Amino acid sequence: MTKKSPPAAPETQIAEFQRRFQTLQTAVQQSVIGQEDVVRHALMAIVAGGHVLLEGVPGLGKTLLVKTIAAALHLKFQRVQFTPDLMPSDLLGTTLLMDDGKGHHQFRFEPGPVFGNVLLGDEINRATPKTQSALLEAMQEGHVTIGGETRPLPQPFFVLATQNPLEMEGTYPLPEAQMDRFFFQLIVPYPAESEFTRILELTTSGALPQTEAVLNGEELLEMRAIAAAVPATASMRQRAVRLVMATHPESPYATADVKRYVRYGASPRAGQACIAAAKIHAALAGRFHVASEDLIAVAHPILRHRMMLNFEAQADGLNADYLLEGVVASCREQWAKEAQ
Amino acid sequence: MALDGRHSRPARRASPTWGGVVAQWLSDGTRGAWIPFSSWVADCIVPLKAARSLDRFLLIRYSEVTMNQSPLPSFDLLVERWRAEHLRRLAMPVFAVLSGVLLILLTAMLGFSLAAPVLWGVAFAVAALWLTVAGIFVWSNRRRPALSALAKRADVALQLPDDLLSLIESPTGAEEWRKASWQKIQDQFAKIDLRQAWPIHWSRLTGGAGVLAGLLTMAVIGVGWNKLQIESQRLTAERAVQAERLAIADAILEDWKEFSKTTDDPELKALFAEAEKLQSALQKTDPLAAMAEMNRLQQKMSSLEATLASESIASHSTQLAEALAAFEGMGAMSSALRNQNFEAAAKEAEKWATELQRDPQGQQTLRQGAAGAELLARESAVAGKRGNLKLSKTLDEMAQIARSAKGSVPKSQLVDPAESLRDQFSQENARKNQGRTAQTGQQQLNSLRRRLQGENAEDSPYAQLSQSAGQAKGGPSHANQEAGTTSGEPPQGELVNLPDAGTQESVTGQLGKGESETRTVSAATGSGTVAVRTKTMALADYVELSRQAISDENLPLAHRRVIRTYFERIRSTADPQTP
Repeated sequence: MTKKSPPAAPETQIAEFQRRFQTLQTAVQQSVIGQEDVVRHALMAIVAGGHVLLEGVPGLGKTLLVKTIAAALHLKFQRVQFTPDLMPSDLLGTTLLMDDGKGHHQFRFEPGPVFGNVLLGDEINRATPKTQSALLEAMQEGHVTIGGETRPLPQPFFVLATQNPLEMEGTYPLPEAQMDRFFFQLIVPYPAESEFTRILELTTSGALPQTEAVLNGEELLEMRAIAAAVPATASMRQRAVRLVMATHPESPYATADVKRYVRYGASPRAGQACIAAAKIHAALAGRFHVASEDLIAVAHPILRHRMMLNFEAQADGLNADYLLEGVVASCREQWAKEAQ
Repeated sequence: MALDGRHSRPARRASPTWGGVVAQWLSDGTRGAWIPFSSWVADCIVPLKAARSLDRFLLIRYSEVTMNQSPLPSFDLLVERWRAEHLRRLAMPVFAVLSGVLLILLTAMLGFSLAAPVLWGVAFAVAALWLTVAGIFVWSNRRRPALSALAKRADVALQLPDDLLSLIESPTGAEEWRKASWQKIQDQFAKIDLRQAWPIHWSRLTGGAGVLAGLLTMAVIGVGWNKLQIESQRLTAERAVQAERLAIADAILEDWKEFSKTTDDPELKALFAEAEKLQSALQKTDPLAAMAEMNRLQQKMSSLEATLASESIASHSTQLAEALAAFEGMGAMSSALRNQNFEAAAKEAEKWATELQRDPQGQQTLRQGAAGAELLARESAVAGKRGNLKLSKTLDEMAQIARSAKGSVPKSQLVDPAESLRDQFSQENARKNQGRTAQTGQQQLNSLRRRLQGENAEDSPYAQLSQSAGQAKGGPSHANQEAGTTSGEPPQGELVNLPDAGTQESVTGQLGKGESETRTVSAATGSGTVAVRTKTMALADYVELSRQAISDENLPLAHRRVIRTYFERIRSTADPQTP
């Protein structure tokens, strides 16, 4: 089946999409207890071909989540522990002088960890901006340029990065350009009591479940094609635009809080991400088109890391999610008025 | 309904014509009419098949030309729900505005006295208001909703996640996806009752506004009908009274016309020929024209009276009589002059002239020489001052004869003065008749004016016109009292109130034939007052007063006429010789 082209009937395509996604999520959730939303959003980002920034305090299973996803996808997994002395070449690769055993020496490119399908950038904010920036080209364009030679990355390619919001000493906050390249920023919450108990049960019994690969790269690309085919009408595109514009303080759609607390709003890339993620959300909901609900559902993970708050917001202890609640409510109200 | 693909314009039939549409409609009323076009109103309020057929007929072209197929599943039901919802939203403000307007109309009708045309106007306004409301509702119920508006509203009402909106906006190249979505929605609609899923709730406020509008309408109609009845009765009574007045006026005016035909006096003939104009003005029922005509006629009569008064010798007839008494045998003439009986005076003058002509050589004895001459000279001057030059010349001639005579004068010298006096007295008699006729005409005109004004003169258009024309209330009879009258004790004595007395004044007599008579009839049970003294008793006082007034030469000339006119009016008709 994986070798065949996607079935023509949308009903079949959507059903197949849901089945594969459910299979993947089930596989991941065998090792990752709870965190359904995080897992679901992470998988949505992967299906959309986007990169995910996982943020959470230590010990919440961020790295485990990424490793499990990589294992479930049957893709080449690379892990990089970001440290302040990590160099770009350590990430991208370098050219070495090699002896071929016949007395001849030649330069040969030794690819770095970025040449994998799934790249885990653990504690990405501990690397210097120079190293962080080395990922920009790879994340956006799917290739890297080393020594004047551009080398394509294998597809699919995802960066799943983690960062700790508490230990800020010795860290380098990701620049806006880098943040904007992450499809989702997912906040990993503390597990619920029942989930915590289950985690303890699994991790202390010595019988950790082994994650099996349930999806290969080709199937993942097919899923991506199905999601991309879900139609998004002009009205939905317009609503996505208004949703993104509502994060800009100078926009007529901005709420009072946005005008007061936001310095810069989300970029157009956020709009693209909205539509792409909404299509996947719609397909998962069994719809044959994008709806406003889909846009609302993916608004937070897409927009929260793309909004740059001002000092007043930080002083008042506000975060992007709080402001996004107002933005979403305002958009809902506006769309309801249009329906009168 | 089969899956139809996307909503599009193409599928335009080759130049659809009304004829083709009608033919198709006649052959198969349902073909192509995916909109049943029978709206909620047509179904619920106007359950007439004809209305539905007409509806379909009017919109079938829309369906066939603009859309070959339905753009949404269950489109007709969705349109019906949309229209019903808009109708509900529209009802409250429409009924509120209607109630407000009706309340204003009702207040105006209760607060003001409105004429019948205005009341009819209100009735038409109420009808127009309800027609407008009905028109608004029909128009609202006929509106074709924009597809996007319909889809958005239906999505919200049916809690569909933008399914219908996405269906109509499905992008090109997504036909398969649209079909899948269509099928899914259609299956969903098949499981539910759209009317229950999209309920239309009519609020109590809207119902209350509708009931209020209905009650106010009934109140306006009730009050208006009642006022219309009252107004109608009033107008009928007023028309009857007016007709009666006009009949009386016609009788008077016919009298005038008759007189103008029979009289030999050219001035009177011309004057009373005006009656025809007045009659035609009255028949036109135009109060303005009638009052203008009456004023003009009255002005002419007043002018004639003024002319006659200025030329009259009646004011100094007593002095003239004394002066003529200077000649012997002039007693009868002097007596007639004292009594202002100029007809008798003219006859006496004729007799005297004849006697003088019979014996021209004889002598006419003078009773008073120089004194008589002086009296004649003074009367000559008086006549000259009044403009009667002919009489002045005659008297002057007689004064000279008397002055030059020594006890007697030849009769031949007195022939011409005697004939001249005869002519003067005859003319004075004619003037007197003219004056009486004009006076009677004035009195009749005043009486006519009072009749036209009616009992309640303030309500009459004639009375209003009289006031607006600056005339004194009660007619010109009051204006004649402007000079030489007193405001002291009334001559008829203190008035005694009657419980319900009505007084009616009438002027009798025929124009040009003798004296006229003013008769006041008091009903014993009428409202008003009645005099305790009789007219005869009051007249005696006035007779004495009139003599004094007429003989008083110190009276200004302008006032003298008025005083004379006044006292002539109260002269007893039983004995015209005695004032």
